[in-house]
Amino acid sequence: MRVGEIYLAVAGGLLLLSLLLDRGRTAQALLTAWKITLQVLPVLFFIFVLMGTLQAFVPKETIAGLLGAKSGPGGVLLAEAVGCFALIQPAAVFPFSGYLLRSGASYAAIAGFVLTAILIGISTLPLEAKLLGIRFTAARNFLTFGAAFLVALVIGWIL
Amino acid sequence: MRLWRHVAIWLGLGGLVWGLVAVLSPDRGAIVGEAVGRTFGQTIEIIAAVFILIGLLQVWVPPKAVARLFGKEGGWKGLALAATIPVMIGGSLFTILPLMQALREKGARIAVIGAFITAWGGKLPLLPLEMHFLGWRFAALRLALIVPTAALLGLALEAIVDRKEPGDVGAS
Repeated sequence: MRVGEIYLAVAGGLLLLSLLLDRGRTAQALLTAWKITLQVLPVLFFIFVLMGTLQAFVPKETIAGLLGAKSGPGGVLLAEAVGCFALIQPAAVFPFSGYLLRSGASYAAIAGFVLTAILIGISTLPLEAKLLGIRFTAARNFLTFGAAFLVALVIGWIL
Repeated sequence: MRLWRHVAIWLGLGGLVWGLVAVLSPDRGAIVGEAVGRTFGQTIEIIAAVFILIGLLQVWVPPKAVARLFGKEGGWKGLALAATIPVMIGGSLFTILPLMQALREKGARIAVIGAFITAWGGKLPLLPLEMHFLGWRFAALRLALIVPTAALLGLALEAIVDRKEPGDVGAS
């Protein structure tokens, strides 16, 4: 049995349980899942095309050089900077990171990328400033960038 | 419908890039096609399972209900909850930030808001994807580290934001 089939079996089991408990909520859950599919799947398609394009044009050595173990803290900072600008759905972060890992990026650099890609978004800055204030937004994003750097170094040190 | 326009835009953008590569070099276009097909083939079951799980999670454990927990809990208990519970919530920053403003208006501390956002970055609903692409050791380590990071970041954020102009945040 493949890993994906196990996950599907678990999801199916929980869906059945939910159906037994509350039919209306389960229908709502399926509708939400469908909306998420429409929201995320096209973005995943774009990200996968981008991955393939990078694969076709950028040699592995380049990525390994920029983000590999030898790139050290500079590589982590570069990966974090890319993560800040990446306008991608959280669900697309991991496939893209997997591509970077296979191309020779270090775990530390990938941790930096994953954390900033999820938690810092250039595109969400205006919304965050409007909702929570400029001071909060500036402090949170700087702190997150710094914390991601430390967490990335710890992950790189352990793995 | 806005959602379908979103679908069309991203599919179109992907198709455009792919088409451009294929026109420039058919060989490289084939590499792109192979990469897209292989990655989808590897992950489609996991993705489908994750989407169903997120759908169930949103309905049975709605983010709004989770956020309501934090309006009153002010002390260390609130901070501890804010650094752990949100790892289970789905959504993107666009959906989380308005929730945080609502929390703030209900009187939640800055530390709780900061910890909540950071812990939400743990992304437990996406764990199957993270494990598949980056390995269970990476996923477990990142999840374990994000909890203390969230609590500390929340406290540091509160120290910075509350120092001057306490009325600045959430006043707008």
